[in-house]
Amino acid sequence: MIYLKPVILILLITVLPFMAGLNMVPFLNKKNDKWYTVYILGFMLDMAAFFVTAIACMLLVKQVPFNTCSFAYLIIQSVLAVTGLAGAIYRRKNSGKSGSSKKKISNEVNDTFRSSFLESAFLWAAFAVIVAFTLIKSMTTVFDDGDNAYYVTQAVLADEQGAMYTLLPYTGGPTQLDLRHALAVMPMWFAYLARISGIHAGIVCRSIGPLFLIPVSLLAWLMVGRAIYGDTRVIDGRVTEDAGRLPFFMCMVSVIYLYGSTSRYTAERFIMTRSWQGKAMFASIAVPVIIAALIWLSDEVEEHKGAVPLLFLTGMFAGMCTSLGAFFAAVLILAGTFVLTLVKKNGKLLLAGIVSVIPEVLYIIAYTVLK
Amino acid sequence: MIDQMINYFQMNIDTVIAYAGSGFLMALYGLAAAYLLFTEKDKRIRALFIYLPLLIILAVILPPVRYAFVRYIDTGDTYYRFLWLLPMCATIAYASEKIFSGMRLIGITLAATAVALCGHYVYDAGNGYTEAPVRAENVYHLPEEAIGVADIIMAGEKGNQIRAAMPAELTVSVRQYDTNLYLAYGREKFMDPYAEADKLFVMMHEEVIDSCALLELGRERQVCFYVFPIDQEFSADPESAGLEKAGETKKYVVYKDAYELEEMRKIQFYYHP
Repeated sequence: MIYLKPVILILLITVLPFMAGLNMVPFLNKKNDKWYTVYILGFMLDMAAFFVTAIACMLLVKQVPFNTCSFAYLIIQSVLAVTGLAGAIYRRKNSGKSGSSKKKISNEVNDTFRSSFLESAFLWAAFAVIVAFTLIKSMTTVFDDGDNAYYVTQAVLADEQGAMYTLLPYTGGPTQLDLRHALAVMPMWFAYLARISGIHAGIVCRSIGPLFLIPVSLLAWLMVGRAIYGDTRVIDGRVTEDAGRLPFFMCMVSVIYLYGSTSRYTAERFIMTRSWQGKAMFASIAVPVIIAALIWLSDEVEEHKGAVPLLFLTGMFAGMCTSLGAFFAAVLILAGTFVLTLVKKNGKLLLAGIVSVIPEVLYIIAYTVLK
Repeated sequence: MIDQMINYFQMNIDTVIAYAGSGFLMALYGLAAAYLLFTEKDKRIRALFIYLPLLIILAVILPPVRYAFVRYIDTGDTYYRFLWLLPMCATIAYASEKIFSGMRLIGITLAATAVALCGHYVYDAGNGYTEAPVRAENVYHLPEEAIGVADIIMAGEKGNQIRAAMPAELTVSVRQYDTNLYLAYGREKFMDPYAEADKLFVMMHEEVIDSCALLELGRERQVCFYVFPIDQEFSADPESAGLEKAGETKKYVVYKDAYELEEMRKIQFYYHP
């Protein structure tokens, strides 16, 4: 039975979000339909659904609201996964033999092919080694941070006591629900993972959290890199010399993560030392996803389909991460679309940005009203 | 008003300098952005990696922005989070790929070395700007001592809420392990300018503890267990004051107030038979 626990946890954080992401595939085109894009979209969709579920339970359920929240969200997450899978099967059946867009890589061997393939393979291998090293170190290293007495304890409280921000994390005992700060429900999500998998919430946050949050953050930067470089790996069935661009980019990002700890304030230090805290997830997951979506938005008009839904969902995720996340996400999206509007001379971009920040505006209104 | 704006401007500069911290990684980022400014033709990249960051930096150092932020958004020390919106990773990575595009294998070595020299290794010892990491002792990533103390206190009390008083350094950890373990005081004392007014908190950290006076204060707060450093001195033996030794770890000794525990068992909120 104990062996089922990690399996269940892996299902909850990898398989179910990916399946949920399949719901968003109709919004993607051939340039951005990679598996990690589908996963990130599904991750954001799941998070947005959890945000709504958690807030509803906090407001409407008086007795042990987390019990209701975890049960309700398990159903919702499962439904999203099933609908995503059903949609993918339906699309595959209807698209027939022309569904696959992958081109068979030419087996013709020549110097250009061999050197660019080897270069790309070496860089991806180097990236894998750096990430493996990072994850092993994160598992075996502790950074003492007093904020964990709040965040981790809130997650353990929800899992052990069924409470959602109605028990004092530092000392215990009841307290009035501070809905303003409780809007950042990220600790409840870790509690959900703990409740369903049966693993202690503290372990889920501090030991297991970095093992999937750091890779998710790197996947977000992978989306940025893919958005910048496009698909220049394979042209007419041949690996091109541009195949090395993306792995080079990712190697650099992973090295910057290791060496970005120049002060206790940097985003890189936050994701490496306190990945499970919402503010770290905002800085290193929400921000790169927003940047990737802004790059999508800046491409041709037909690319816009996926950008606005992704920004919409990421805005909700940002609010879930930290009370200030909604504000900073809105600033980034509006500033980004404003600059893009001036550069591309296309007012629709700013309009897309304004539509995208509706969740953040509602969050900020709620935050202000609850003062 | 002008003085306030000048003060905010100075604070903004200090924020950026504090964020940059040690090393020259922010300077490397600036160099990368400057390189793109002069060489990048792609409008998307210029918009998002040059103009947008410039706009953010400009906003960060302008005094009215800090005034509005503190007035309407947050009064805490969170202004530096504007700098999280800068795409530092992507800019340095993209610029270095552009520079070394013809010789990527050598280039990645040189670029990564430059980042390593300009940055600070996260798993290295603290450098005044960051705290040092420690080796994890268990899967909870908590001090083994804290888990040992919690296990001693909660042994035989599963499902009940038990209140304890303990040294401040333990209070940040024990409730991350077991939230049924209530505390007489917790981490809020670290941030409380009036912590010295809490007599129980002060007495628990004295060099020589008066066990009888401590017990009297603790019972007012329904404290059933007391944790002391193993070398704690007492004016009188704790057991003579009414405490029973419940257990000890390498660094701490745990005493139980059996009388108060019995009283707590009568209160259904805490005790669930």
